[in-house]
Amino acid sequence: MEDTRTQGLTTARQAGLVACTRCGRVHRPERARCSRCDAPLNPAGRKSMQAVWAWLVAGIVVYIPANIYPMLRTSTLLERSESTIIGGAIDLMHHGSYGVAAIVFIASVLIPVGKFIAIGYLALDLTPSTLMNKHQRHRLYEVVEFIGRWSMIDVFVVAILSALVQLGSVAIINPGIAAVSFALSVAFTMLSAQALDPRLIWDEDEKEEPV
Amino acid sequence: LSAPTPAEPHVTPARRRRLPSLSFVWFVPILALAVSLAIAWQSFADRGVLIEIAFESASGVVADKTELKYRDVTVGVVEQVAFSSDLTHVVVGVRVAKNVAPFLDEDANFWVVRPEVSTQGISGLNTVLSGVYIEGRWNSEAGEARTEFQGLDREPLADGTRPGTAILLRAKEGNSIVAGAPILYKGIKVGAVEAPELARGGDSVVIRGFVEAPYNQILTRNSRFWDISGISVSVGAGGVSLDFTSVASLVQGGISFDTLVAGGEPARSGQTFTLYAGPEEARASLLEDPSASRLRVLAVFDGSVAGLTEGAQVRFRGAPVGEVTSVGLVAETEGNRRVVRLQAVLSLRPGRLGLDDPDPVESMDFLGDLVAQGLRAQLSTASILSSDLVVNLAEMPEAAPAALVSEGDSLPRLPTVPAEMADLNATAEGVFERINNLPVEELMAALQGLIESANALVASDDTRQVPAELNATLAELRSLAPGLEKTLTEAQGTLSQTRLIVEDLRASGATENINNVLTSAASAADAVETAAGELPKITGRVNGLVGKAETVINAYGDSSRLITGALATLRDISEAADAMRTLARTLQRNPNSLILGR
Repeated sequence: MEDTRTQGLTTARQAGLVACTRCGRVHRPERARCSRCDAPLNPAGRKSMQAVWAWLVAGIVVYIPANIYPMLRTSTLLERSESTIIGGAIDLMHHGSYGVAAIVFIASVLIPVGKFIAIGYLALDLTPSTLMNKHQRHRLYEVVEFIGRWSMIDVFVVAILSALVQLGSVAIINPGIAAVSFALSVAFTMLSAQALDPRLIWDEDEKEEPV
Repeated sequence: LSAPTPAEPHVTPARRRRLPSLSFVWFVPILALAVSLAIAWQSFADRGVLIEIAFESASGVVADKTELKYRDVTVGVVEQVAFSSDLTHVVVGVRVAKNVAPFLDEDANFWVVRPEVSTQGISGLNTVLSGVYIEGRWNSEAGEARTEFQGLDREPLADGTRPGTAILLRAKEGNSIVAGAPILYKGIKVGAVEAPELARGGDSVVIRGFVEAPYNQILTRNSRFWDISGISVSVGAGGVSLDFTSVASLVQGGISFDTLVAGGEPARSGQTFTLYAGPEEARASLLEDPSASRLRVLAVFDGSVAGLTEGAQVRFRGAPVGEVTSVGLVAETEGNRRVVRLQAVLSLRPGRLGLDDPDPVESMDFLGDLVAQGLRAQLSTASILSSDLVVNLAEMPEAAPAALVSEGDSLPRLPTVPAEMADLNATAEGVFERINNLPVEELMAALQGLIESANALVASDDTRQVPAELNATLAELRSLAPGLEKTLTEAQGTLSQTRLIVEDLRASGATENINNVLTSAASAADAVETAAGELPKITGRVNGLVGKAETVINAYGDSSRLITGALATLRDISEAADAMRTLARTLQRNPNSLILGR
């Protein structure tokens, strides 16, 4: 449309071909598997969108307990404490570690929530009447897919701490339910992002255009 | 260009095929939701019950940190620390594990465990590092669960969970017993007591105690408890002995018990025992059956009942048959006069009076018959050396008839007779009383008065004047003596002159001279007469002096040597004066006796 670079291009779909989502080679639609990488070939469609929504909903669902339940259970000689993600960030802030608090907050709250919104937006908003054009949407998709793994930073911290700090009765750190929930939430949103077929961005765009 | 055409039919059936059936991927969010909900439900269901415990103070209790422990196992965590609506209590909200909550019924007790150093040791040392915790104790029977509890200050003794017997001790005073004081059996600590509380009526003190198993097997209904608090110092034939059981019992007080009579049925939980002042009293009480019925009568005494105390014995023919339970004043109307009398409530044991049947009505009838036969209450001293009084039930058949009367709903009134003086006199106290009653003070006052009046007599001017007057009298006598001497010398001179004349007459014999002689003799006689005429005056003066001196001396008394001497002198003077008077009279009557010598 407005992007001059895409105007003269012919998409695989327009050519009646199916592109491999893994290596990008195009095949005839009769083929079931990619002749180059043996990945299953399937045309972009509703099944893909269902998977996106399903993973997204699952991610959001498990994200709720991840924030309610304690992430870390710390038992020392004198006391026992449990801290949630937000509670931990606030505690860090109270102790003056604003930088660390910001990292925890961004990695554990902002990024996952941003991902939910971004995926939801991409999955919903496939019509051209939106703020973003195809290229921007595709870039957003790339960012979401790239950044998703970094949300695991909290889970890694918990995993490392629980592995290291097992000092008998002096100090023990155990992961809480939230750690599992959070890891699942990140995994689900990553799957959701992967399930989103970027070809649809282009296909839907094309559908709008008068053929 | 024909390429796009075959692509369309391939897509459309695929769409139609997939639309009615949902993708299996949807199982994932459904599963996630189910798991999340399950976790949420489980944690909600396992969340436990919030109970509220009201404490006087909650020092050291921190929300989300302080734990509730049962048998040293954490069963809950304090969720909130707040005040009661009127700020009188601290209300601690504790989330208690669900499986424990049903057991929290009315027998549940909660208290805050803090480090504590007492005479019996150090407790709660683990809380120094970990902070205080709330300890709860309840029995293993689930009752009607409650959510609001009253917290205790300290660990309760009897809580229904530890084996043992809770007992109730009834004492007159609780001033020597402190909470936590030990109960000892033959010197071994077998339990403890709580702080004494006033009994409901306020007339005695109730102490809750707990005797731990297995020592509670020793405890029977015949067990006797006594106070071993403090130090006892006794002076006896063996010297002075200082006795205290333990330092703890010295500071906190202590209670000892013994079961001296075998075969009593074991004590129930909550059994009430009397706390006696000492082992002797406790043993003495064994001889009495505390459950025997009592006859309560009034006795109103005239005069002082000093020495009559609660617990004083009531004796009948010397044998104790009861005791005085209270001594008080009572206002009465006697004729048109209102008087206040001393009233004692006597608690009599009919069994001691020889009645087997404890039927109170019959016992009272029996007592009434005894009164009709002359039974009277009388105060008497308990022993020779003590001032304690006992009430003696004396039999006085000759006493004025009286009856056991009860006015209104008050207790029957036992007639009384005044205490016998002989009874009092027989005692050392009576002796002291008699000494006390001697008019020593009057005697002393009289003596003092005597001395004072003697002093006054000596000091008075009159008395002082007596020696002065005597002196004056003597001086007067002295001054008189030369006069007398002169008179006597004159008289002697006259007599010798007369003798010379007579000798001249005898020698000469001349007649012519006789007239001269006679005239001169007459003049001499005249001179003698004038001298003699003056004599009565002198004699009168001397007499007056003597009388005066005598009165003075009489006033002075007659024991003084000076006075004796003075008296003798005066008597001599008196005799001299008498002689003078005789001489004067003889001369006046017969002047020529001077001449004739007869």
